Amino acid sequence: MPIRPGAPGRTEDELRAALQMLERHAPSAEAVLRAVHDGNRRRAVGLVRRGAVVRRWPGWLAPVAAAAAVVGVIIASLDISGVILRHPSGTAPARSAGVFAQVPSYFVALRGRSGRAVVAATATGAVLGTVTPPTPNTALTRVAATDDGRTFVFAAAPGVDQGPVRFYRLALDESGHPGRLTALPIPPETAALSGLALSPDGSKLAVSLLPVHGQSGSTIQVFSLATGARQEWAWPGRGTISVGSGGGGSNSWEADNRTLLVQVTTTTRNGWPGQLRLLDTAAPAGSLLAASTRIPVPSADIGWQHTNAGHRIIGIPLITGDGTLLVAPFFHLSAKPKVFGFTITEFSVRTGKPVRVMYQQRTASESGSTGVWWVNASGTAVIATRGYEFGIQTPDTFTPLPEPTQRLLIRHGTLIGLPAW
Amino acid sequence: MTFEEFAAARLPAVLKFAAVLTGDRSLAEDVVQEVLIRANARWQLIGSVPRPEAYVRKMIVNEYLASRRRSWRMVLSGAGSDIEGPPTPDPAAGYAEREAMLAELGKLPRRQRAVVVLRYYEGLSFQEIAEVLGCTPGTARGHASRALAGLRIELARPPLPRPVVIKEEF
Repeated sequence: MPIRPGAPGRTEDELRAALQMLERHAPSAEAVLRAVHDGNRRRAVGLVRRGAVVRRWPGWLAPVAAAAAVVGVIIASLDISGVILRHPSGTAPARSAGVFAQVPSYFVALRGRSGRAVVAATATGAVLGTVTPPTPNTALTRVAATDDGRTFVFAAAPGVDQGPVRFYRLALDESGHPGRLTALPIPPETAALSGLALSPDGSKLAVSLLPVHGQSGSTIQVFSLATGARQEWAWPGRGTISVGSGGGGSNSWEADNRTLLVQVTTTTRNGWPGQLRLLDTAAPAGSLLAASTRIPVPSADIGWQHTNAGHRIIGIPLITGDGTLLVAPFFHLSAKPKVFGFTITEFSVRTGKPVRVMYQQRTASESGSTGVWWVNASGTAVIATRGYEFGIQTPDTFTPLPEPTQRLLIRHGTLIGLPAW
Repeated sequence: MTFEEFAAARLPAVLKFAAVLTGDRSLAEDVVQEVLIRANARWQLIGSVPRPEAYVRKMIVNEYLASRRRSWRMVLSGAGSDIEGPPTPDPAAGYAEREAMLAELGKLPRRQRAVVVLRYYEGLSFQEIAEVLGCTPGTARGHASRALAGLRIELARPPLPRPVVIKEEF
């Protein structure tokens, strides 16, 4: 663009003011949100779109399965329910040694684009099997693990954002190869799931459910996997109950197989403050408020408020088996100079205060991240992500998982598998 | 935080950003709608990052840059090149000048425009802009430099502060 001779120069402030004027073109939030919930992309002239996804459920039902539909991948139904594609023997990991002896030998990772899951060895990345959703389901949407490192429970759905959700158990043999999926004696769930958590001994499954869109009534249900018996607790008033950290749903129960960590996010005029609570699943069903005790972590550190301080726990923490520690990604932001802090921090369950920072990264940009996926009983070994790398974090060291394992979970800086250990 | 909560808290700001980025209500609506449908489907991942709005903002920029509506240009009444004569105290002149600047902004290549919006509307550093666009900070600076030259923006002195050095520690 030619510059006219003698034309007066403009200032950066004038540019900022001009850009502010463009805010007048902002579309209606209601219209956009309604279209998003309906799953209907607006047809624009000259704009080629992929086929719109017809959603019967709120979009936040089954993120992984939904992702599969967005990229247009449909899993063909198989004639045999719960087919396990076994891989050749001899690919089991070498005997774990050193730091790898402190973590589970095997993990399951949901592969969003395919609706399937892979079973792999932590120490080598060797793929030991592929799990396909049993018909009529086409996608495995969530997975949770026990603490024996060999038993997992899957939630599976018949289609993207469709119900009902059914539950299946998977057991690995001594060499980590998967057996067949077994249907659990739990009635299919028609409400939208917000989380899944399996007790350490595999006897109980906790399922948190979202309220129907626009209504209150979030609940948590705990099933006996031996009998299918169900207990249900509800949060009074508006709020969302969630269980299970990250994609894995590991480390949400204490070792007593009775105490369950839940997160409640409530709605206020100032945002969505959160609470972490310990639910006594032996208490009478009914009110979650009555059956649980609050962990004294400040609500602004958990939820999302307009007045948030510059620090926040990301997602739902892990709880150690002895019930003394929470392990969480903890994010800091300082204003001037702008510094982003990404940490892996342990909090005392009793006081709610940080007791140890296992890792800290400070950066000038917001693109960093930390995540936690599994913790041992005492909190001294954590499977964590630092940036885009999985590894074993101890108070003193970080040991990256081998490259083949990384490739199953992360590609080009994007998480492609949701693991459960 | 659920997608619902994110949308309720951040959607107005997201829509304003998209409007400034695209300069067009219809295109902004298209871009945000497309991005939110994808974000909604992947919320289990996006909702777990420290600042989901930054992730969504990056998706919006990428969607804008990848949009096939290449023929789109913002058209405002009174192109900048048509405005002649010395500035006057008339307060409307400032408004007209901004409109003229926006008209010239609408003629910039999309990547340059994105850099300008990220820098002067969002207030990002070149390091952060580079991460949004997937390029080096030097490339982002180059886009900004060419865009500002095209818009006849005189940089303030002293020069813009450089981002602080990334520091990693236990």
